[in-house]
Amino acid sequence: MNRRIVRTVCPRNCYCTCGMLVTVEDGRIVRIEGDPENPATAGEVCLKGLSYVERVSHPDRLTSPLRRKKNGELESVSWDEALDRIVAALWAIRKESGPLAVLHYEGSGSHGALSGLAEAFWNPYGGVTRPHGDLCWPAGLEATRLTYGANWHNHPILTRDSRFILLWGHNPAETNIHQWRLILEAQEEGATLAVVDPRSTDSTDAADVHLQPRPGTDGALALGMAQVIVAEGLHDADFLRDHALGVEPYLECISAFPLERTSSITGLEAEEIRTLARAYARGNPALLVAGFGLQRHRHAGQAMRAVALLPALTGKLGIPGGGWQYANLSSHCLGPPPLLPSSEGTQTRSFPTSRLGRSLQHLRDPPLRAAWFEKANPVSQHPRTKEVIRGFAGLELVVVVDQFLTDTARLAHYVLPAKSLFEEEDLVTAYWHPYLQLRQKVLDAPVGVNTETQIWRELCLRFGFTTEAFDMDPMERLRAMLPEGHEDALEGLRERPMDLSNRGEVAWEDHEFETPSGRVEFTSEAATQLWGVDSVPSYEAPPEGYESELANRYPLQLLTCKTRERIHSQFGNLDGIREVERPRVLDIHPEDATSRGLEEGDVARIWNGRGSAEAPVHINPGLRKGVIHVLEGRCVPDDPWVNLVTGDGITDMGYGATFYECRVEVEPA
Amino acid sequence: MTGPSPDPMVAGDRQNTGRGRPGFKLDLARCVGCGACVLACRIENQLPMGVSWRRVLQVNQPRIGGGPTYHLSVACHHCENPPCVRACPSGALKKGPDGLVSLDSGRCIGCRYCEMACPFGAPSFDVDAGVMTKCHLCHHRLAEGSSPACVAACPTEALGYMPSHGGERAAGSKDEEERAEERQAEERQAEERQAEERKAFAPAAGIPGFGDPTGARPGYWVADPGGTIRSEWFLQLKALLGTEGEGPHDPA
Ligand code: SF4
Ligand code: SF4
Ligand code: SF4
Repeated sequence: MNRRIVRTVCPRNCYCTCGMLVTVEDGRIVRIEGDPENPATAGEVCLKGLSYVERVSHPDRLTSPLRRKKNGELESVSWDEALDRIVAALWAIRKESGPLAVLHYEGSGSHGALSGLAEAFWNPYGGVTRPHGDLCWPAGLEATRLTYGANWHNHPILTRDSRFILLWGHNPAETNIHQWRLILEAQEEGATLAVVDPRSTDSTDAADVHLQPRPGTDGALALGMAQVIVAEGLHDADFLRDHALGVEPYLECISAFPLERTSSITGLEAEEIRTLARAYARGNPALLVAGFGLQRHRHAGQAMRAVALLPALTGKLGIPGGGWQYANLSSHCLGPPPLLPSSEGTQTRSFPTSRLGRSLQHLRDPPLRAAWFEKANPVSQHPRTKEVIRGFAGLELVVVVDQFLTDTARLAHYVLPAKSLFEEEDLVTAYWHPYLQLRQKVLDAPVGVNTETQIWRELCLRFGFTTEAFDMDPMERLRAMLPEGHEDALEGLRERPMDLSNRGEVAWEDHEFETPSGRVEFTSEAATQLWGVDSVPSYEAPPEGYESELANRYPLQLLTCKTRERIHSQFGNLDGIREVERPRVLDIHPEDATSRGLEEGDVARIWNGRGSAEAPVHINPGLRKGVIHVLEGRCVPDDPWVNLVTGDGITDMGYGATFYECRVEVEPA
Repeated sequence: MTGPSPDPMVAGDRQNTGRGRPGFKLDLARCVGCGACVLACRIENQLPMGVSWRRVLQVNQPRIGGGPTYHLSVACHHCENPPCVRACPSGALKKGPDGLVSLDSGRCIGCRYCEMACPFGAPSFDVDAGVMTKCHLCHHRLAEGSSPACVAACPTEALGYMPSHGGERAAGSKDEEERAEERQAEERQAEERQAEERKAFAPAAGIPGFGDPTGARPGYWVADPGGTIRSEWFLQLKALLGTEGEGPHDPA
C-alpha cells in the first residue's frame, strides 16, 4: 500500500483557515487531521474540513463541461467544444459592445493567490466589468482601518490570557471553533464571558452575561456604554491624552446617549447596559471581539467605529489578552502572479456587489451581455435573488466554473468543472491568525477536470494572447508572489505555516497606530471625506429599523446567520454533513408565533415587498421578541431561500451588503 | 489532545479498586455539538450511511426556561456489565479482559437484540450487510498509540478517552472483598441468565424505548465540566443524567 501524508490548508472563507494533514492511500484521501504546526488551529479541523474526504470524490462532482441545450437541459460536451463556443461568444461580444459588456465575478468560495491569474486573460481581452466591495465584512474593515490604521489584532492564542471576553455579534462556538476552544480555556482560568447577540446561540449558552439588543442598534449601545464609562471615570485618561485624536467631539457625541435613551433605542434594560459597560471597563485584561453580524446594516461602518473605540477609550490596546479583534490581515502579504500582461489601456467598470441583480439588468454603455462566475453561487447568496435571476435571463452567455451543480450553475449556459482544493498548489492567507500557508497539491484532478489556471490558459491560446504567465513552474510562480526578502519561505511553508509579517504577537504594543495622525482616531476626517459620514461615530437608526415606517407593515426583523455545518451554500450536499446538521427552520419567539397562529412544525411564509420564502417553524424562546432567524444556505432544494427576501442595500462605508437589515412579516403558508 | 485529564467524577476521596475499564468522557461545558466526532468515526471506520457508532444528542434544544442547550456526543460506553452482551443469543458480543465490548460480525445473526437491550442505542445495524456493527474504541488506533478517531477529531477537546475508569469507589463504602463477591455473584447470574435467554432464543418483541436513538436515557454518565458550572440549571441537568439505573457507570 502506498501511503503518504501531505500538509495543506483549508481555503474556505472561514476564520480558522486550518492547517491540514491529509493522508492518501493508493491515490485516495482516507484521513484529514489538523496540522499541529499551526498554533492557532492546532490539532483538529472542523466537521467541514473532515468532510472533504467525501466531497473530493463525491459522485455529483462535475467531471465534464456542460452545455445548455435548446430544450433547456444541460448536456455533457467536450472541453474543446465548450471553450470554442465560449471564446466565439466572448470574441463577438467584445467586437460589438467592447470588453465591458462582460462581467467577471469571482466569489470567496475558495481562497488562493492564484486567482490573480485571471488577469492574464482579462488584461489582453481589454478589461472587464467587475463588482466592487464585498457581501461579507467591508464596513467593519473600513471602520477598523479608519480608527486604528490597519486591520490587525493580537495573536489568537493570547485569547487565553483574557479575563473578560466580550463577543459582539459573534458566535465562535459555531463559526470560529478554534477561537472557541481558546475562549473555553480562558473561562477555565476564570474569565468572564459576555455576549451581545439578539439570538441565543451555543456561544451565548456559555456566557455569564448575554445582552439581546434590537438588531441594528449596536452603535447606540456602544455609545451608551462609552457614556457610562466616561461618566464613572472608568476610561483611561492617560491613553487618551497620549494616543488619541479628537476625543472632545467624541465626548460630545456620546453625551447624547444617556442610559435612558440608549435603553429605549436598543430595547435593553438600563441596568444591563450599565453592568456590561462597567464589567468591560474593569476587565483586566479585557478582549473585545466583533463578528460580522453587527455590520450588515446601512449604518454599519459608524456602528463598528463606535464599538471599535471602546478598547481605546478604556486603554485596552497593546496588551496580551486585551485588544480589539475584528480581522487580522497580517498574512495578506502576497504580490500578484508573475508575468501578468500589462493592464495599461484596459477598460474597467464596476458596481457595488450587493447590487448584482439590478446591475445585471440595468447597466448601460454597454449593457452586460455575458457573465463569468467562479467560486461563487450568487443565485442564492446575493440579496434580492429575484433580481439576480431576472438579470441572468437577459444574458447571452453565462459561464459558471464549479465543482457541483450549484443554484447558479443550474442557470448557466456553460458549466465548467472546477478542481478541488487538493488538486493544485496555491498560497492561502488568513483573516484570524497571522499565518501564510501553502496549499500543497495532494492529488491530480480527476479525468475531465481542468484547473482554473488551465482554463484561462486555454482561453488565452484561443484568443492568441500570450500564455507566459501560465507556462512557468507552479512552485516558482508561488515563490515569485512571496514578499521581498522571503523568497526562500516556500521551503519552510512545506513544513509549517509561517507568519511573514514579523509584527509580533501583540497588536500595537508600541501604541504606534497606522492612521494619518499616528493616533487612534476618535474623530476621523477621512471618514467624512471618503464616505460622507460624520467624523465622529454618530448613531443613525437603520432605514429598516424598528421605528421606521416599514416596521408597521413588517413588524419582524429577519436575521440570516451562519452556523457550523456550512460555509454559505457549500457542504449541504454531503451525506456526512446532512447526518449531523440541524434542520433549516424559522426560529421565532413564542409570542410572535402565537399571535400569528403558528405552531412548532407548521410551514411559514416569510415575506416582504421583495419576495417570500418558506420554512418550517421552530418556536425559540431564546430569540429576542420581534426578531426571527433562518440559517442561510442553499444548493439543497429544501433549504429556505432567504435571499429572496433580503434587501440589496449598501453599507455606509466599504460597499458591504445589508443582509441583516430586513423587515418581514410571517404567516402560515 | 494531550491525553485525558483526571476524571473529576472519580477524583477526590476515592480509591482505585483496580477494576477500571476503557471508555470515553465528555465535558459538557465544551461540547458544542459540532458533529466532527461523528464524521471522523464514519471516515475512520468507513461506515456506510445509515450506520453510526456515535451520535450527538441535544438536550433542551429550545432552551426552555432560559437554560442552555447541551450537546451530548454518545457512543458505546463499553459498560461494566453490558446488557447487550447478555442479550446476544449468538455469542457475537463479548466483554473482553481489557474491558472492550466487541462484536464479532462473523457470528452475528442480525437479530438486533443487542440494539434493543442497549440503553443508548449504541449498536448500529448495517441493513445491507445484515449484521450489527458497533464502536470498537478504534482499537487499531489505540494499538498505534493514538486516541480513537472521534476523540482526536474533537476541535474543542470536549471528548476524551480514558484507558481505565469506573473502577474507583468512594472511601468508606463497601470494602473490596464485599464488592468483588457481589460482582462475581452478579456475573454468575448474568451468565445464567444469558444461557437461559439463549436457550429460549428470544424475547419476541423489543422493549419499548430501548434502542431509541433520540432518547437521552437516564443513566447516561457525564463528566463534570471541570469547575466551570455556571448555572443552577446545569446542576439539575447533571442530576438528571447522572442518576441510578443500570448504566455504564455503575454507582460505586
Ligand atoms: S471550514 Fe474553517 S474550521 Fe473547518 S476545516 Fe476549514 S478552515 Fe477549519
Ligand atoms: S467533536 Fe467534540 S465538540 Fe463536536 S460534537 Fe463531538 S464531542 Fe462535541
Ligand atoms: S449496552 Fe450499549 S453502551 Fe453498553 S456496552 Fe453494550 S452497546 Fe455499549
